[in-house]
Amino acid sequence: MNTVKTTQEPMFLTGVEQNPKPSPYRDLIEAAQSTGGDYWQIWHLLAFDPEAAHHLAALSHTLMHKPSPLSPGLRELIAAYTSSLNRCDFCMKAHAAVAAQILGDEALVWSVIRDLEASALQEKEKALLRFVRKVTLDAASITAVDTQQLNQAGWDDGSIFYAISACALFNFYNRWISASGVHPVSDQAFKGLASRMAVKGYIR
Amino acid sequence: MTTPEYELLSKLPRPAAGAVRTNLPVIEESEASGETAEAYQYFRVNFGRPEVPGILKCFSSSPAMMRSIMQIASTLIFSEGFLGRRTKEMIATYVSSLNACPYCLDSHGFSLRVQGGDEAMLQALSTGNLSHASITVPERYLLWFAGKITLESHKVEQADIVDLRASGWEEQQIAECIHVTAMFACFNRVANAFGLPSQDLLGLISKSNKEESDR
Repeated sequence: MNTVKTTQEPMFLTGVEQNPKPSPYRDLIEAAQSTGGDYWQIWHLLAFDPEAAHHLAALSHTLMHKPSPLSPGLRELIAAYTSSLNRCDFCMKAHAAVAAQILGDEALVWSVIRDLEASALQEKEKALLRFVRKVTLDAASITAVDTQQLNQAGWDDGSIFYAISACALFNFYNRWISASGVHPVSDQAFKGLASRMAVKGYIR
Repeated sequence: MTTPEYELLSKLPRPAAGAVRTNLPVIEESEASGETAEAYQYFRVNFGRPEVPGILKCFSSSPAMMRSIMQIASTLIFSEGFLGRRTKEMIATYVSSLNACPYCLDSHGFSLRVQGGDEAMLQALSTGNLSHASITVPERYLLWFAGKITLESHKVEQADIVDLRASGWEEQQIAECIHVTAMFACFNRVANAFGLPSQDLLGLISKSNKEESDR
C-alpha cells in the first residue's frame, strides 16, 4: 500500500497503530492515509478489536444518536463537557464540534466548556451538567437527593438515565483515548469529521 | 457463554432477592415485559445466572443498550484475551476500589476469588496495597498503570508504556488493560449514580467456605 505520510504524531501503542485488523475502520484508515489527510487515530483502537468495536459503536449510536428524551445536541454537549473535565482534548474538541454543528452555536458550546456557570445556557440545562460533573468527578457521593433535585428542575427519570449513561460512556472514551496516545487533529479536520457524526451518528 | 462464577452462584443458596432502592427506578424482573423481558431472558440463558444483576437493570429502560452492554462485557471482561480472566478481574477489582464503587468491588472481587485470586490478594487490591506479596512485580506495574488511567488519564505518557514493556507486558496486553480499565470508569459511574449497593456475593463465598470447614 502506498501511504502518504501525515503530520500526525504516532500513538503510544505503535504496534496497535501499525496492525489494524480487517474492519470498516481499517478501510477508513487506509483511505485517509492514501490521501494524506488528518484522520481520527481512535480508528486504530477500533481496528485493533473489531468485535468489541462493533458493540461499542452500537451502544454509542443508540445512546448518543437515536431518539431519546434528551436532545442529540445536549447529549453531545454532555460528551464535550465530560471530556473537558477529564482533560481529554481529543474527545472534547471532537464532540464540541459535533455539539456546535447540531446546536448551531459554537460560541455557546465553548462557553460551557470554559465556565459552565458563566455561560448563557438555561438554568435547567446547567443543573443537568452540574450533575454530570458530579458523575464524572465524585460519582460515589451521589444519592437520591441529586436525582430528586433534577426531577424538581424539570428532568424526568428517562432524561437523567441518558445523562448518566452519556457521561459514563465518555468517562470510558476519555481514558481509552488519552492512555493510548490518540492525538487531536486540526480544528478543520475535527469539523469535517464531526459534521458526518452529527448527521450519521456513530456506526460505520 | 458460561462463566464459572455464575455457575457457582446458581448453586449457592441465596436469600430471596428483594427489590433494591435505587436513585432512579429500574424495571425488576417480575415487572419486565416486551423487549426488556426478552433482554433479561437473554442474560439468564447466555450467562447462566438465574438473577439479572443490578448493573444491567440500570439499562432496563433501553433494551438495545442493555444488549450492547452484555456483548461488551462478554467479549471484553468475561473472556480470555491477551490478558487472562484473573488479571482482568484484578484490574476490575482495583479500579472499582479506587472509584469507591461498592457494587462492582463486590461483584468483581467475587469473580476474582472464583478465578483463583485468594482472600489476601482481594484485600490488598481493595485497599490499594499493591506491594502485597500476593501481587507479582509485573502485576504491580500493570495495576499502577490502571490506577493512573483511572485517576489522571491525561497524564499518561509514552514512558509509561515503555516501562510496562520493560516489565514484560506485550503491547497487546497493555492495550487490553487500557480498554478494561476505561470500561470500569464507565460501569463504576453508572452503578454509583444509580446507587447500587453491594450484592454481598463475597459474603456468600465466606459463608460457603465456613460451611465446608464446619463439615
